[in-house]
Amino acid sequence: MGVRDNKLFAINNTAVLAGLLLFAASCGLLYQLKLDLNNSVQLLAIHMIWLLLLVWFSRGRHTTKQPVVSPFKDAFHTGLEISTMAEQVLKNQYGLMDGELSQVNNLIHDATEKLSISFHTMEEQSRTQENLVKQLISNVTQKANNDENSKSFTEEISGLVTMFSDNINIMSDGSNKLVHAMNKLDERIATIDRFLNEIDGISEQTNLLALNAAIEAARAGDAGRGFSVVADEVRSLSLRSHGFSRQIRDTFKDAKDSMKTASKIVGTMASRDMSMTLQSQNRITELMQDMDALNEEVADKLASTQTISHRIHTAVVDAVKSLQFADMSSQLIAHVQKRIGAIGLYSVQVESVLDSTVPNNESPETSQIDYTIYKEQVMQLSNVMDETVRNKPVSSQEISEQDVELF
Amino acid sequence: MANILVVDDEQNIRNILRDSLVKDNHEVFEACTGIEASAILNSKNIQVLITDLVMPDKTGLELIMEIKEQIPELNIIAISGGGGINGRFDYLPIAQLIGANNIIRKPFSIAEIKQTVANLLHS
Repeated sequence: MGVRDNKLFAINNTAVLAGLLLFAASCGLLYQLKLDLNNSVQLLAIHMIWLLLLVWFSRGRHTTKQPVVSPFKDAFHTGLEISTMAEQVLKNQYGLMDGELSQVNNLIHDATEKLSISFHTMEEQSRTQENLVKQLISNVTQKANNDENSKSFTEEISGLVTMFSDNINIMSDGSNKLVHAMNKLDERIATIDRFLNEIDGISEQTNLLALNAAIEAARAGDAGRGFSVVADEVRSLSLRSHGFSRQIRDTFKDAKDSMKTASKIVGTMASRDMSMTLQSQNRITELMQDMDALNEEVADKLASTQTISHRIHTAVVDAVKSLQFADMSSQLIAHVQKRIGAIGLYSVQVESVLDSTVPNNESPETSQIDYTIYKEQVMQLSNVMDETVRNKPVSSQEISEQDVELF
Repeated sequence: MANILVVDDEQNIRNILRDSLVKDNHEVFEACTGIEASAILNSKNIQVLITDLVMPDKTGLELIMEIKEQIPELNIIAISGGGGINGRFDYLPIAQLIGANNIIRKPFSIAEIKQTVANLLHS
């Protein structure tokens, strides 16, 4: 529009200049023709010619200007409206682009922060877990190395149990044999006692017979003297027999007492074995308690390890979510690029429309142009651009918990 | 246990899905475009389709519409970052309407994916 105005302005100025030059030329011509300038009629005629020329040129200028002013004015106003519309559309698009870029920025910022926290947590928990396991191994190893006989815990337990078992078996065996032997001895002693009773009976009867024989011998007088001697010897034998019987009884009594003593000794020995057994049992109990304490410590540490594993798992879940920011961001950025492309195309197309609004002086239809079609064209271009960029890929502003929608 | 097809133009997403599903003894196939996915669905016996919705060439919505006509019994899980049309019409509910059995919004967790797949296979 500006270029054409300048052209027209230059043409108009040229016309005025031409008019002035013509006037000057006519004056010169009149001078050459030696016309009497004092002649008022001639003077008036000359002035009239000059005025007519000037008027003609002025009218010509107006005549040429009037067809130019109307379309320019319409074109100018239409151009202004189109510019305003385009500016509004572009502002809107820039606003949307700014929003989308902010969204990308927030996504990246949020994801980076969460990734950082996740990795820090994983590192920290892994270290804690490592220390726990090291402590556990150290405690178990130390426990094994502190044993007095340099035997392992299990070897000692095993040895004690074996010894305990052997002793019990030996004792049991010995006790059985002893009981059996003592029972047999009791039977024998009872038998011998019966035999001794028999012997005592015989001895008493023999003594009686001897007395009777002595009495008969005394009755017989001198004839019975020899018989009396025999009777006395028999009586003596009877007494001796009774004496032996008593000694045998005493001896067996001693034997029985000895057996009792032996029994007592065995009991004492059994008691001592029992004491050793109890000591071993106490030692086993101590060892089992140590093992329980160790197991408890292991269970405790394992529970801690499990808690740590859970924390690590949670950190990994957060990291997996955060890693998806790349996908979401790239989709958003692609959409922004699409929007930029659409804006660029829109700008070129609007400029083309604006160029076509500038009227052409040489065209006879210039004054009849309906400029509203240009506005409609620009509105149509806005709609096309909106259609191009309406599909937005991501709505999330940050990497956060999302619910699973199941149905 | 099942043949699963994972469709997403982003390699990291496919890796996450593949690694988590393989641990549950599924056989996992991958496609980075809707066209590639169509070819695999026509050649393999797939029980579960997990597809992103925003992809170049053929979108996830187009893929779902096409496949639902050919294989109506196919189980479909649609995933998306929550995009939509003009900020009003969300892609995920649209996917649901056109045939997706389940929808999951990004960012998802591995547990969500595994649970959803398990529920679909059991039902």
